[in-house]
Amino acid sequence: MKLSLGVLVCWGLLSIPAYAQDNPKDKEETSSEVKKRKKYSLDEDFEEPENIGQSTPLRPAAAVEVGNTTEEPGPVDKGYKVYSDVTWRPQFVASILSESVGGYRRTNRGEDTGTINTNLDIILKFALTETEQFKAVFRPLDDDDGEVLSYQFGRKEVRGFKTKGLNAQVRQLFFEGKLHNTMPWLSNEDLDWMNFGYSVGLQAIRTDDGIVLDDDSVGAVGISIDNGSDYGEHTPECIKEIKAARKENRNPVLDCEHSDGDKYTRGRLAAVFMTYGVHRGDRQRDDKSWIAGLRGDMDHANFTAMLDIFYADGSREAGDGVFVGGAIRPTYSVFGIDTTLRGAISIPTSDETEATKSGGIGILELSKTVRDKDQLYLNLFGVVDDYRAAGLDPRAAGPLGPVGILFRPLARNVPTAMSRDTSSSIGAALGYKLFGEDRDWQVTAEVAGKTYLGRNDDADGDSQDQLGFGVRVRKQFGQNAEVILGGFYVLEDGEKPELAVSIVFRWHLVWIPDDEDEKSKKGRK
Amino acid sequence: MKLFITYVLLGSALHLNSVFAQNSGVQVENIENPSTKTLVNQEEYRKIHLELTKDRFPSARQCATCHPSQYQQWKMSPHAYAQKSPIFGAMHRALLVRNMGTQGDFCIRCHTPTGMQMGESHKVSNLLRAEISNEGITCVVCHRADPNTGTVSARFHIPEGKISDPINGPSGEKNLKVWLDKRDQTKGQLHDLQAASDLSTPRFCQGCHDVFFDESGFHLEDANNKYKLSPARKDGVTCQDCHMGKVQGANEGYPRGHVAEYKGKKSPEKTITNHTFAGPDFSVVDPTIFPHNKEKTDLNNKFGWTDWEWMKFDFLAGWGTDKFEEEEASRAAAGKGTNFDKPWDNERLRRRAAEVVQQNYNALYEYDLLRKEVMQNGLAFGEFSVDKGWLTGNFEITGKVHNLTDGHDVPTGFIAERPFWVAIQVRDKKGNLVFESGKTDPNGDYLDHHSAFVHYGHDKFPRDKYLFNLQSFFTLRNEAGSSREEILSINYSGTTIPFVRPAPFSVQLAGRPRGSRIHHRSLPALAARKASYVFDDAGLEGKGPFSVTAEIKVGMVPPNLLKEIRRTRYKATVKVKDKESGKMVEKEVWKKVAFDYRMSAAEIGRRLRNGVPGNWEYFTFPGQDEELTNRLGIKKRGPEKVRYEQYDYKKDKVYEVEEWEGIGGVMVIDRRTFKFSEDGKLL
Repeated sequence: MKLSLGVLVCWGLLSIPAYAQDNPKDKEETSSEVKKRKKYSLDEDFEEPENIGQSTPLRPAAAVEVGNTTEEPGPVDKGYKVYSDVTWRPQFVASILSESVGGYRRTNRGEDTGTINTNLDIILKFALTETEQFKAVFRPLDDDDGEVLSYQFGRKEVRGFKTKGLNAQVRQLFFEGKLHNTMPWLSNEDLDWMNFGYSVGLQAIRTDDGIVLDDDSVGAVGISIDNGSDYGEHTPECIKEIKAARKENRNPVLDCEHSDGDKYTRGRLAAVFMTYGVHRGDRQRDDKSWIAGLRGDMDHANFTAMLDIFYADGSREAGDGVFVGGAIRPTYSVFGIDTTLRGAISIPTSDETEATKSGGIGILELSKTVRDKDQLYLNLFGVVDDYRAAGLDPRAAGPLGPVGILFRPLARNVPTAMSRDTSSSIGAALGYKLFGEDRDWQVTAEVAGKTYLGRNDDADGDSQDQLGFGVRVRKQFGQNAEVILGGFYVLEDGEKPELAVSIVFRWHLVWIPDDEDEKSKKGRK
Repeated sequence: MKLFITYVLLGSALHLNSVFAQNSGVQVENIENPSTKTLVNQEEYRKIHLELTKDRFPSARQCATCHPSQYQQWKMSPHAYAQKSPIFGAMHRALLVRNMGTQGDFCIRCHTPTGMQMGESHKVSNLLRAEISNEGITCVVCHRADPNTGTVSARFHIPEGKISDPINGPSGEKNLKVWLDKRDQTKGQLHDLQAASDLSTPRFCQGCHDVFFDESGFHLEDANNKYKLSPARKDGVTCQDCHMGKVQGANEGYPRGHVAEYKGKKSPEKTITNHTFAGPDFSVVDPTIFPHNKEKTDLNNKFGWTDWEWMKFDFLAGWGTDKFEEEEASRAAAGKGTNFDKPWDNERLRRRAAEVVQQNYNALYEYDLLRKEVMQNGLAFGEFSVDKGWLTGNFEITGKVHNLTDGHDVPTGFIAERPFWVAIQVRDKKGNLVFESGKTDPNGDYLDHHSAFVHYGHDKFPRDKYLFNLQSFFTLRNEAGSSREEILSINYSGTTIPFVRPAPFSVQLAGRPRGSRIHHRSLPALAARKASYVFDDAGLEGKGPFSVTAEIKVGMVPPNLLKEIRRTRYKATVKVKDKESGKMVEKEVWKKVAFDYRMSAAEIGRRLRNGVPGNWEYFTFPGQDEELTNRLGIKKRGPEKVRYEQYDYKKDKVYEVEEWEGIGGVMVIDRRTFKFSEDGKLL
């Protein structure tokens, strides 16, 4: 009996570690050593070559693709050499994105409303080359004012469909390209001087993350220069001396002119003139307005700086003004905190109007990567007087958009949780963004507050102090769809709490291939 | 008794379970035949595939018949390595996973233009690709491509055809005709030569070296863009002048020589170009896989081999070398011979393979010297100075790093993954380390926020706050909070399905996608930047004078890129054997993006640091070319042993290992040593 017991105890004891060791799942979950190795070291696992790439996602083709190959293996057309010595290889792509929202909202007046709406974005690209392209955007389910197709629940007077049928209105239609490729007589060839790009037509213009300018559909012409660098001026003698010093392990005898200190490494400048369908800072369209200005950004070894300067000239109702915005983002930051400081001012050059008021805005964005790739953030803002953007689309988040998810709509035509008003106020948003290990889901939770300083004569008419809490959950479905669950609860000074819950289904209309090997076999000659 | 039986049963069950746990590990069985949908083995698949891609473009091997010197230069070049690189292949697949496959063949189109032109899969192993597509930027990519292409990211037309079809050259038919008139016709090898003046212009290089993704507006590489405003451009100096001339990376004229030779007859002497195009890239695969080798291809053609066979050849054991074969004969006589896989059980074939390996070592080493040359023509230290603060007593060492080229920034090209940095050590008179910057972690990463050890807060590897590096960073805009620098460029903050589709705005005006950009930090042409280091003098009195060693180090890609690639997982449907029925069934599993040629991230990481390993007891350390050695001003030398740090995760300890130096790896392109006194004066 004792022998039996001894045998079975040994058997049992031997079995348990064998199990624990051989089960890979246990290995991952229980071994701190394995966790450490995975955390710090490069792994020693490899894969058999025949399995390499197996099941890696294939390219989902856009709704329509005609002409020269679009990021797909296969022969590239010979094309047509044209007057500018450039080869055109025409290609047409229609990309479709659908976004459906179901939402419930209890307003601060205690009204319950439910909405289901659908938005369809059709983006057409007709490319002559990789750089010369016509683009167009249609939203066939929107009405002329940009309201999306929707059904509203609630009181009798608001209940029902809101649609005007299919809409063929062009939201964007523009051509963009390189100057030398289309007008070689202006910039003889690409070897000549700078690298010019341009764009003409009805298009979206956004600068400084939407703080100074954010219009989704405006007639504009713009030109950009993209390659400024602060080159040094070493002479050949200087280079020779530096090379000699290297061989002889000594300091160079002469140092070189203009070679001290840090240099900026890349500069970019765009000049834009907008004149048709301009929306001004009060989000109202003003057909007499035009906006012109410059936007530039510059990379330095230790930071990136952006600067926008625009002048807006409009009707008496819209007014005229100068708008200056800028941002700076250091490469490294104290305690590993990523930092961006943004600021903008609006200065009327004629009488103040609702669209053009004097004021300034500053936003300090602070965030820290935690728990591998999650993000903890604190964004602070302050508005002095009444800041107005140069131009603002009715549905744009506006200058406060970068502050946090409560200041930005969940989807088109969904109101923001917090007021978008930019009159004298301060506020902050504190949030945490949690990413799934494989980036297939993410959760953002945020608490935000906003308090007004002094006057309460804002454009939106709701300038009460606010405290809000919001959550957004995104989950990927398949290769081309995601579901977003969003909700917020906002307490407003002197008002009832406002709450909303929405579910958004976003999907790209694409053709997902199921057998790449077949393609490979045919060789698509 | 019941208790006994219970324990026995329980124990057996646990044992069995552990056995099943092992056996139920996913085993992928072969590959699906594209046409019949049935499973075939890799051999059959390869035959089907190779049959489809055969003879559509001439191989560089065929061009080598009459252009042996150009082949010798090209075979070890980054152009020849472009598709062979397992890092590139895995990164391309990781990006595909991260952007839902929407980027398609965007990256790989530049790396194997012929493979993509033939419609090959853009994501499979190189072992399943045609010979020509494994040649990457092979001869016909440049010499048959349609000129006048502009910024197209290699999306240009390459006509298919035989070697005897017309070839583009910079000077047209004139010279060829002159030569042909004087000699006999060859057997179907001769081709017409059509003039393509673009071949000599920077615009031609722009076709691939301005990497612009029109769908998103991302300008991933802009070497040509930077060149346009450069002093070199103003002086009329082209890319080719510096990168195809006598000296790598400097405009010192072109060599003279013979463009072609055949059976001892040579074409008239004229100005020729060098096709090595040395750069910061180097091979991390076995010398059996790269460089390309004509002897190897002859063997492949004779026996129907591909890289599958060569991967089995144990070059590190010294197979096929005289020393190994003598030892093997003794072992075999003692009945302890090596159990070779076919075809390497044949000694004659082993010896021929060893010759290939030795030739490839020689080529890799020659390339490494040229890599040093081009890098040395790019960067160098300028003046160093030392100050001692009168108030703080702190020492401040300042050194300048100069860009010596007038053509573009350094680094240029794929700047977001180029580790160019300064390592500096200060020691007291006894040799004790008193200050250090530019040290690397056990993976080989310098200690910035992308190092895994810094990222996860390992106490032995804090962030190096004085680090001087020239690497640029992908900077991604977060849905809320500031932007942050990430290793891969796909922004998934604010969406779980980052799609690459035509941007609904002008990418020419915006200059970049809305959610991501590259923060450029390269050193502009002919500019200099200061590297400053401050450390206090606490406890250093009486320990001077101090000696300083400063080095400019150049790597290919940071090892953290390998880690980030491996962190990319995706759901894969694989076929596994059902335990109960024994039938093959489909099962969904999570897979990590993997590297080709059975290479692990750790192995590649070691090679990024130390190069391709060599066993110099069996193979000969390559000799150095006299002219090149003189040009570089380096001493002739044999192999050396190197030491580097490894991390023992079990004991949480860092320890040093010693091994033979490899060929390639992180390179020191400038080293400066000097001393300074306790009062901060240079000695």
